[in-house]
Amino acid sequence: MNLSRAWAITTGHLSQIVQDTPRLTAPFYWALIELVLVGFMASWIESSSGASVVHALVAAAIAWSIMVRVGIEIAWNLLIELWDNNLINLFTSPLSIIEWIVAAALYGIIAAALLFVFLCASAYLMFGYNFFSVGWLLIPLLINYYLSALVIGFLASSLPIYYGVRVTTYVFMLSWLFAPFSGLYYSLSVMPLWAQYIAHALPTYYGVDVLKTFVLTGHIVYWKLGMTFLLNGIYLIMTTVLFKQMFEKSKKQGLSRLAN
Amino acid sequence: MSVLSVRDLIKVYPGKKSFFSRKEAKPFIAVNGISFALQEGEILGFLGPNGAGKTTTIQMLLSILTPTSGHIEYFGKNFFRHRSEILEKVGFASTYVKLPGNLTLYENMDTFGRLYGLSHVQRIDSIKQNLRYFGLWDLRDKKTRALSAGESTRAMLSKAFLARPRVVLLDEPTAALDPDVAQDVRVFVREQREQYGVSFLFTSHNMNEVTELCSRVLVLQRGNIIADNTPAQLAESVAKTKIELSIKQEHQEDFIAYLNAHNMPYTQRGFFVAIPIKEEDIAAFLYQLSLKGIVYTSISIEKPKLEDYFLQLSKRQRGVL
Repeated sequence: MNLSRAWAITTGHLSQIVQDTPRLTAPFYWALIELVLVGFMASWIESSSGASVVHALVAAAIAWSIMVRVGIEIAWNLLIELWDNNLINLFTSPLSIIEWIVAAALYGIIAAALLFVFLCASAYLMFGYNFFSVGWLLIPLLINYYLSALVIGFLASSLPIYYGVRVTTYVFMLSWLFAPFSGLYYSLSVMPLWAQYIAHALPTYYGVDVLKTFVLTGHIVYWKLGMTFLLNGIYLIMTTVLFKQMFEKSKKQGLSRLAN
Repeated sequence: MSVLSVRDLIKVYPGKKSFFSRKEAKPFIAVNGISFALQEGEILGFLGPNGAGKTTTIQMLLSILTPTSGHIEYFGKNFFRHRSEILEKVGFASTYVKLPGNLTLYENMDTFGRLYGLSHVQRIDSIKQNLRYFGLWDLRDKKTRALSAGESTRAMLSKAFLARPRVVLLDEPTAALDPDVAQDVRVFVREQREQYGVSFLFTSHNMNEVTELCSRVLVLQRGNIIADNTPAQLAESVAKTKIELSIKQEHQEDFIAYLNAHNMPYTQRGFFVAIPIKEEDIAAFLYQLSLKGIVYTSISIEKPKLEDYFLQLSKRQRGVL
């Protein structure tokens, strides 16, 4: 493992994005749209029912946006390499797949940090919600949202690394797979029992639930915070292994066939 | 000393149904147990008709395709165990592979320089030197997607030589280049071999180029190496040197009689008579003519070409011969 090679890939991706305005603005745009939709929907519910839900749902929207947008960004970087036919250049160089995975993770930290700051500022300006009011809980939660983003990113990337750009649509479908089961904007109790079982097996549910519970009640449910770490750890290992296996499987057929 | 050693390399694409395409593929043997070695400072040509297994082999030598079985060693080290360490010393360029279009040429070179383990100072020196050699220095701030086909190929060559490689795999490197630039590339390849002892594995459909550059040629057909020889000897294996003489009218009869007496086949076109003959027999043949007093007014010698060999090979693969 050579970190400077991984960092070369990360900075290469950053350079590409900075020079690509549509690509640069897309994650911020879609995250903002989600925030606005959820925020105003929550404001409407609050004004009509009196239930104090705006801050909890805005917080959930920020958490989910970090998870899904950063996850999509990681998969998008792979798709860009495929569209550019650059995978052959990369993997005929000394770069290993582990270094590429580390590069994606490093990129994810930067993307998550930028997106978090942008969404926090937007939520404060539009809905008066200060995400930093969660105090020290912010640190474990952000770590978990970042880990969930990696899980989503590597899961979504595992298809195009074998099937190529023709499965681009599935990348987005996979990225949103966890959303209905994560209880983002509703309580788990409104879901059918089978869906609740699935939700209890997902780190995204626990991650968002800890945040919402804290915003609504001021209490920290420590066992759920622990579950988030545990499940994120398990899922991250599983999805990283899956991605690496799909890469090795793809090499058996030849990476050049993925050329666009 | 061999810098690359390949033993019993096999690639079989198994026949199976794809989930997305729903087409059933039959098992296909792309490379069928080939073995060869590339010596230090050697330029080894890799020839064969389309589908012979050249690209498949090169892909396995670069680790972007996993072999079904076999051994690959670079510099005496197992390629699969020391992949990253080995690839720091192996350059690759292909006309059919491009650099990411959204980065400038310099940014691309810098990224690859870092992947190949060059320090900041080494990168600055090497990028400047290579881009200048390939006539791309003035285009360094241009996005690579805006480069022409020839410029893209030269950019790939610059990338291949960025880290002072010991072995370079070139897949049709001059296919998209103008003749003068292609000549510059050939000169560069020779310089790299002579000055730094760089070894090359070289595929090309330009037979003159292969003849000019390669000291040895491996010929692949249907995944097997069917010949391993110098370009000249490969050419001679399918055709003889042809000597064409313009004979004075008064000597024509004697000349034809001489050819018939020595069972030498010939073709006649007016005053011109063409005779297939071994290259080493030409001097003795001309001497005999002078002894017989047969006078010729012009002479041309046509050597067999590697292209003749390749054409015959292609015809054989297509079942024409």
